[in-house]
Amino acid sequence: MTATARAGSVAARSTDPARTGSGDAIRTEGRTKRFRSGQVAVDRIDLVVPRGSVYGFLGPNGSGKTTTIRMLLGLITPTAGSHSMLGEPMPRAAADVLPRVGALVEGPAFHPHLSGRRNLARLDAADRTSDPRTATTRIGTALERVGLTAAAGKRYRAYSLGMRQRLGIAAALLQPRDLLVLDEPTNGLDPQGTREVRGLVESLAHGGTTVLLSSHLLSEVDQVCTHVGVMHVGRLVSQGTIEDLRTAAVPRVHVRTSRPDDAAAVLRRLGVPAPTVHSGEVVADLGPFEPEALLRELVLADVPVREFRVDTADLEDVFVALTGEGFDVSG
Amino acid sequence: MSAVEAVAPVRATSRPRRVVSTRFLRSELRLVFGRLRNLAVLAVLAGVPILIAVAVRLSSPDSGEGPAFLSSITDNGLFVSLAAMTVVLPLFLPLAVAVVSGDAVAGEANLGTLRYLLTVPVRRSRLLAVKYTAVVAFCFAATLVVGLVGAAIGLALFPAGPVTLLSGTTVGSAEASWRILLCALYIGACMAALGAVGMFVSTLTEYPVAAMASTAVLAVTSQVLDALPQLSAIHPYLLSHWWLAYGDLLRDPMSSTGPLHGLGSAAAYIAVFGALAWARFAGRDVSS
Amino acid sequence: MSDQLAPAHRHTRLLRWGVPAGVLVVALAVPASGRVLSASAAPSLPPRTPAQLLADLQTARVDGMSGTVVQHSDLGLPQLPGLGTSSTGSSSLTSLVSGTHTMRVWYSGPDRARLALLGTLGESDVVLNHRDLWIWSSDQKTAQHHRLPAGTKDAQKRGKHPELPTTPQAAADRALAAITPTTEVSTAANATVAGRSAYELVIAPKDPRSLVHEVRVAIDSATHVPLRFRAFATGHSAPAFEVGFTQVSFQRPGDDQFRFTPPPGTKVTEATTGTAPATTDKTPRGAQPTVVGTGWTAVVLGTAPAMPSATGSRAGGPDVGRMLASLPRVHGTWGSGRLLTSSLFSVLLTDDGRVVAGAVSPELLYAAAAK
Repeated sequence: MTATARAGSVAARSTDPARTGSGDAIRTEGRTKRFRSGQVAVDRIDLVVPRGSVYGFLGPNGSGKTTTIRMLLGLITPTAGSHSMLGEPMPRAAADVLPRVGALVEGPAFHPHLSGRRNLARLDAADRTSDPRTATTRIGTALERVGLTAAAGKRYRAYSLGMRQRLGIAAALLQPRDLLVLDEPTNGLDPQGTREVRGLVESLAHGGTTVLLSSHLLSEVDQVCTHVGVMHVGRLVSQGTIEDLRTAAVPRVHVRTSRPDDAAAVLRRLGVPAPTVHSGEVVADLGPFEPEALLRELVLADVPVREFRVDTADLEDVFVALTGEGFDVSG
Repeated sequence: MSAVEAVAPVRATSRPRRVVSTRFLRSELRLVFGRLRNLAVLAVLAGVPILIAVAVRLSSPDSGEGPAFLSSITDNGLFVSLAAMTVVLPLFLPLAVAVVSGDAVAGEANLGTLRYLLTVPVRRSRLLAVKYTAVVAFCFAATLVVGLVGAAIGLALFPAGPVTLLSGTTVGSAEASWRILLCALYIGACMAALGAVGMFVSTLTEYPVAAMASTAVLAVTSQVLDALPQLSAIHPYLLSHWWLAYGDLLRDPMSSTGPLHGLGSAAAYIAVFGALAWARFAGRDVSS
Repeated sequence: MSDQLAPAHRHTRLLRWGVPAGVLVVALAVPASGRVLSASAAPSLPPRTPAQLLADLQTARVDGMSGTVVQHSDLGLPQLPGLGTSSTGSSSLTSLVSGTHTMRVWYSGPDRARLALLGTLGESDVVLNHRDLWIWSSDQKTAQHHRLPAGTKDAQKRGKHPELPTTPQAAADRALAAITPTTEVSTAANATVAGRSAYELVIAPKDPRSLVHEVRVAIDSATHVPLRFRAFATGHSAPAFEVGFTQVSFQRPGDDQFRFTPPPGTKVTEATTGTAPATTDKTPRGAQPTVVGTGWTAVVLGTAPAMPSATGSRAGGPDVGRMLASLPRVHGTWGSGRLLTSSLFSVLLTDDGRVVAGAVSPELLYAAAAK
């Protein structure tokens, strides 16, 4: 329950007029996807991705991230709601908007019997806005950016998982983009590849490109994102700048004692909100209190304190709190 | 360091200009005709006239029973074309068309490349149009391969005299070649109608093999129904009913009745199944 | 907001599927509209009495014509093995008894005519050019040549319509020959056949025991040539037999149409018999047949021929035997035999070798056989 309260406060902060408005790269209102089976994969989400941001779109597998991305790109028909991309209504303006959007959706997919270069050439040929005269150069540059120049002539079939992922990213970089939607871009990459992708995202963001980066791995988002949205069972449970989220992660006090009920009573008397007792340990949000003051009061009340600890929760804890479960948990 | 403060990129403001271009179509044609499987299909089709010509050459001159035009091959090599087209028409050609048309959308969906084409973006109607154009190109290519290989091997192994038409009159080689070409084009148009059916089936599934098999089954079913006299009332509406009407092009004087009916039927099938494919595909959730 | 959008989606979805539905309706309506228009538009013509129309038929004269004739039989025959019942049509001349057949005809004066029976990938032609009569079969690559005696030519000139019985003209003639006091002749609403306005002459038997309900002949208003012949069986709304032009031109066809040279590789049979080939009369010649009754209910009694030898086709021999064996057996006071029934006629083949046939129900045949 604290999770929802906190999510609300973060969401409220993110709708600050200074940050939002028509300049948002992505903005959804009540977007919902109910599949024919009746399953609601995405439930009334209000996503706001400001221009120029690197937006970490987080959530466990199956929380509705990919379905949301498919709706954003017009691959599936939303059941309800509306959304705009780059300031234009979607999917109506898809033909104008999508050429400015590079996308990697649910893993790379290419023709196995064609080379990486030929596969990119096919996608470029399908784009009515691309200039055929610069195609060769652009394809070469894109391949170079993901480090695939040497393997460009090899058949896609022969690519490793990491090379396939890179080719998918290269496809998203065929044109200068205003928005990149990267769904799990580091899937299958080794740590070195992951670092490279992170560096690529950072450099693209520096160039002014907005990046929506979906992931189930917190570590990816943590280091490159300016904004974060957290999905849980089809709902956007939290959204805001990464600083907002960190602020929301208030420090907690842990007291280990042989008389936890007494300790809890002392804290409650001092006004510390809702201390909880778990197997000989009392946990509570620190709030505005000084830890030193709390400890002194406990000792004065004759509570035998075996351990007194204040944790500044990291983002991981925040997400666990928001989603009710750790990351990397399917479902 | 927040990127929010970063200056908006210059390129972000203008809408990209869309141009009409045949690049995607050419890319699609390269995909269809560059694919090893499709080339193998064409090679098998090309093998039929070769097989017929060699078999007739090696066998005794006694004509006897067999498919239409077979007995005339020894008189004129051009009949290898007609005999081969008649032989491949009931099954081989529909199978070949089923393979390519059934793969059209389902194949891309199966690979996942469909979602990338759609986010390029390629409008769904444009994707269907380009896909279908390539299917039609394959239909005509397949028919012409059979006809041309047949004519080539026929003229290599057999004399090239005057050609006897169905009406018993004889025409010169030039006139005969022209008529055989018309026959091939007519059969190609009939196959294009089957291709439209196949493409619709292809929009229904993400499994290309299922789409191919269903299309082939539809083609065969149509021919089975066409052979049942009890169903004569529905015969003119069957996909395959007019396929053999190219015989009318080999009469003297040439009759256009059958082929015109056939072309009308093909046009109707293309329109109906093209619209069905569009209706299905335009609103379909691409979740593969 | 979300609740407003959901019905809108359903709406566009419905609209989208409406497109193929609309295309389907148009695709079906385009060919049908042509038929409906031609059928519904009863052209207004100066009225003519049945007698005048009969006279018109007698005097119909064209220098030349050509066109496409479609013949359709729905005789309600049992599905017999060996009886070509394909709707696409075989090009064999003996396959005319059932199904739909398309013919092309050319006519240029009494001594030049050609009929082509179109098969799927074959064609049978009968070409008359002065005294040369050719019968060509593309399926078998055979050509029969008949050199007609000089007298035949005159006889044909005297004959009104020397065409083969499969053309509307000849079929109408045969129907007209049956006109006796037993027949009611009237006219029906004018018709459009092969794009031409025509009078419709109706010939109906007065005797209700006849299987023939009525015969309708569409007569071209300008040339008086019969364009369509339809025989309706009692109790059936669709014609049991129909032969008519789907396309006709009264331009005299070029002489090329009547020139036939056997193509190389053809098996040519020379028939020097004086009589015309067995194309005019298909009833087998047994002993002299006798006729019981008159008019529409007349029954013909004859003896069965040893073996049908019409054109020596492959369809003879065992096929015919198998076909006969598949007919239902009947017996009565007259004896026993096999019965062939159709919507227009019945044929009784008795075990003692008699053939009883007529456009009547089997009961009348039994009665005739008992005599």
